[in-house]
Amino acid sequence: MSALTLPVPQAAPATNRLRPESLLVLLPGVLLLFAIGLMGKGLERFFHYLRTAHHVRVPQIEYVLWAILLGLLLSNTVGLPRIFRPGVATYELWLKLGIVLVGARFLLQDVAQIGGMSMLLVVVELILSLTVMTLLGRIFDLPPKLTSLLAIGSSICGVTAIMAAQGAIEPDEEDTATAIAAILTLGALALFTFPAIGHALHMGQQSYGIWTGLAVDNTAEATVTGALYGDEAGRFAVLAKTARSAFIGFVVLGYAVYWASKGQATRVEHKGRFLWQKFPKFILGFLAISLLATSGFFSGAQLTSLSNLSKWAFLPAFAGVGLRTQLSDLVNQGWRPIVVGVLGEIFIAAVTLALVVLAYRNGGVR
Amino acid sequence: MALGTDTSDTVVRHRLAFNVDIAAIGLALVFAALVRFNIIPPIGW
Repeated sequence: MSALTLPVPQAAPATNRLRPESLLVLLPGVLLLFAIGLMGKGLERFFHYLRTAHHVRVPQIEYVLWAILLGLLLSNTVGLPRIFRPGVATYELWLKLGIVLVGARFLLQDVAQIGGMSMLLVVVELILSLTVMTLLGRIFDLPPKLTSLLAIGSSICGVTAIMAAQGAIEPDEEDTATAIAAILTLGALALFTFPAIGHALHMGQQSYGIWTGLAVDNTAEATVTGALYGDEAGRFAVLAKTARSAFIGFVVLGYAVYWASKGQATRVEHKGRFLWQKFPKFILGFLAISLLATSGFFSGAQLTSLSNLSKWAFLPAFAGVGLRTQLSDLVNQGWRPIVVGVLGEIFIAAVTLALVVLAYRNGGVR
Repeated sequence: MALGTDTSDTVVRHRLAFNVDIAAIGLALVFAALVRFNIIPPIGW
């Protein structure tokens, strides 16, 4: 594909052990993530101070948006110097730490009830999005494996799912790069469109959060898009997204078996082991913390501490979302994948919105 | 290549030398223990 802009580096060798110097390499980027996150929080307070103490007419911008905007500004103007890149990649660690700790705010029965309902919605969303993306890929004559990657990325959990599928269906490297760029671009668009739609429809925190978790592809973008609407919406976005992520192994396995049957990928010998390898393990951490919270292991004040700790963990993750988003990807990846992605995402967003609204009317969510 | 044109790819595909999921669970459990046994003071926001 002539529009290829993202070279795919080789995977790190298996012998890449954790050494003190490899942790030191992370330090500059980690400090940058926290610095941007803290600046976002500081700017939110400063603007609040200007409004309340001096009656200056400045917009109320949440720290989440400040952190993303600062990250976007840095990476899309002066660029991210090489020394920061390894540490900035740890945004995923902070994101998952935040998600695991959010488990403290959900009693296990809530997880079972809301997560169970989310599961039902996820199954419908999965079937529809996989079908629609496949059809759109054929209509726009995309390479079949690129279509598979876009379908996997948009139906499950974005970049993680695409990376999981990469080893299983053996696509061309440029297809992987294009699919990742398309999913990240669509995630960036969701950050600014979903909250506006939620406000326009006067959606409640819970219903908006569940909608976001169902419709936004990447875990990071889903969390941010939820948090932009409010803390509660952010937590429910995490819950719905986590339910969706649990399906990653099954969908990737399905595509692996399909491409292997066509002789274009290696056969999966041990399906159970494959499912476990692809299963996002951080979900187990979320459930473990939720179980501890449910069993009364923590006092009320301690649960509040853990919830606040989760917010602190999300702070650098939000900065990382801004830092790794390249606006140039919007124009550099070719028009067909992005058109397929945009049409598919509009369809998925509309269908999941309708599903959530239906559940809301039937008393399923608030 | 112009500055900043390869950030997303580099950051997304940079492989850390540890399993992020396991590290996240480990850190969360350590923090949970520190909070539970009052080793660290209450965390505000």
